[in-house]
Amino acid sequence: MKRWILWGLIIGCLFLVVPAGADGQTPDAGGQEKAVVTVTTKLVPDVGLERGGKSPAVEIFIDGKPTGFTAPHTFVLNPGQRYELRGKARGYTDDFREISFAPGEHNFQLSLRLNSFSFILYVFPALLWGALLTLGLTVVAVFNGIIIGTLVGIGRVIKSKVVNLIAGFYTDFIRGTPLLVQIFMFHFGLPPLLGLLTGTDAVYVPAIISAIVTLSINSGAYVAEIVRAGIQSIDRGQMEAARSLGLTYRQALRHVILPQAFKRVIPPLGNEFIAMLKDSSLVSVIAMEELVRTGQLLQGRFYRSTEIWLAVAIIFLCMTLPFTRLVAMLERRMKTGD
Amino acid sequence: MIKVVDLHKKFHRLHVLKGVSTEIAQGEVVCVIGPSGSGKSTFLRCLNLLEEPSAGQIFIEGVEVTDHKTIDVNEVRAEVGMVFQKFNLFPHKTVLENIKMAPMLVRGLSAEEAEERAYQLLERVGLRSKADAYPDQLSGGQQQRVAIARALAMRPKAMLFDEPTSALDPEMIQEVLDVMKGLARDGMTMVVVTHEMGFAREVGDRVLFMDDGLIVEEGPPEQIFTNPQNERTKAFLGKILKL
Ligand SMILES: Nc1ncnc2c1ncn2[C@@H]1O[C@H](COP(=O)(O)OP(=O)(O)O)[C@@H](O)[C@H]1O
Ligand SMILES: [Mg+2]
Repeated sequence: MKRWILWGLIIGCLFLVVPAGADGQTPDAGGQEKAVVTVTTKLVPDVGLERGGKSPAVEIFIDGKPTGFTAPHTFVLNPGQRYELRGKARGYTDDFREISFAPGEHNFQLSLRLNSFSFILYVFPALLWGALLTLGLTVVAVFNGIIIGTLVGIGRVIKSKVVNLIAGFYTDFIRGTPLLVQIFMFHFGLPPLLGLLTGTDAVYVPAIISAIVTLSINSGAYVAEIVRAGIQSIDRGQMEAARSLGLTYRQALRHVILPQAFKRVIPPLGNEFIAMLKDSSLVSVIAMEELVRTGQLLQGRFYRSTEIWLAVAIIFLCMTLPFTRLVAMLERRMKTGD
Repeated sequence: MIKVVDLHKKFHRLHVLKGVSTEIAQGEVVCVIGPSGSGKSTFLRCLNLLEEPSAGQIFIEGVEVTDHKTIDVNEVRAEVGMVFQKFNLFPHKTVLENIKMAPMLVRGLSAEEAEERAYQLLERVGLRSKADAYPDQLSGGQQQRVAIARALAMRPKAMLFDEPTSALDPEMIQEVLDVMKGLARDGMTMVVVTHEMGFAREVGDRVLFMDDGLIVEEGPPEQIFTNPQNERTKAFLGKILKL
């Protein structure tokens, strides 16, 4: 429980340090005559956080005093003095300018940006869609991975040199190369080769296919190692007892070894799921709009990387932490009684 | 019933059995003794082909089971029951399921037939009330009795016991030995690796003393225990009798 409080504090502090910058230019100072200043405001992004979807009205303050007007509004200001202009709206960062005006007419814009919290709320739905894809990809990949991995894991322990070799090569290759490289190999590297072999043009498959296939194949190799370790962790006496009763190797595996291995394999499979939740972010490089890619796109649009990546991290945490706890619980339960 | 001719077993370069020959008659109870590492377990495991002999022949009821071309090892194993030092019950199955499994899978018995057989055997080893317990809920002695029932459920022609009481607390040894004595009385052919001299004397027809991969001496229990001929037998008995 203490850990949760710590997480809350850390995240809270991050909100405080997120910069809420403003931009704009300061006109030249000086002059004796009065200046006529038309103040306009700009909301970035203009989303209308208030109820009803309308943009909030920006109140204009001069020298710290509310004028009672909302932008746009025109003021006549005395020359030679410095004024403080301020725009304020709920959910937006205040914009302050200390300025003095040359005589004449000025158009002056105060630009208000969503404050960090509002901005995160604003991009949250988009990020959640990304997270949904991340979750979906992970579930599909690990599901396929469990099927592939169970077969390959068994393939690593059975008494067949050829099968051992193939299964071993597969796990070595996948576990020994970066997932990123595997994605590139499948998505970009394979089509030309297939084209060459079949004498046709390279056919590039949609990113979603590449993503599912590579993640599944990748997960399969890790699950295979988990399954192999699970099988090998079962006491040799179990196989011997089964065989001594006349069961075939297959029967012994199916009725004696695998049911026992299955239980031991559940916690590490949970870890594999957590790892895949995080690693699946690599398919962002082939433009799959999962959580990380969504974050990149939002960053390109709003240039507010701090909030975006903080939000992305929080969403990842929200997805992984429950599983981390679940795995820990399963491991504890496994230790106390098989 | 069982005939072993010049049996050799090598693990890579380790020569464990160096030419074991013996014959075991129908209904005979043969006890195997010998120092640790002398190859007793390996010998037993060769008898039901859990280990593949490197050379030599084994005949069971006149059929050469070491002949790969004509023999299905699974059929051979089904005919020869084995009881292990560490029981090796299947922990994920109840006592009843442990016993029912092989007859159903290997012999093709229906669930009802297998269950009936299992209950009979549980009766015989005195554990009918434990049918629905899981192995880890039983004492070592109870587990070993279940393991014996499990092997018997296949109606084997012979039973092999590899130090069936060595992993047991002293107070549980007798209950297992009693079950084994009952089996012997009913005419089961048994090969028993054991250091229980009392058992060997009471029910053993013959004792084999193994050392360094060979049967060094064999004879009736009384003779081996009271009047061993071979120096190594004497040395070994001297050691274990002192305990
Ligand atoms: N599967 C195996 N692989 C390699 N060596 C083995 C194997 N099984 C047994 N041995 C070796 O064979 C020798 C005899 O073992 P074992 O038959 O278990 O002796 P015993 O039962 O008389 O104590 C020992 O040295 C043991 O290390
Ligand atoms: Mg042994």
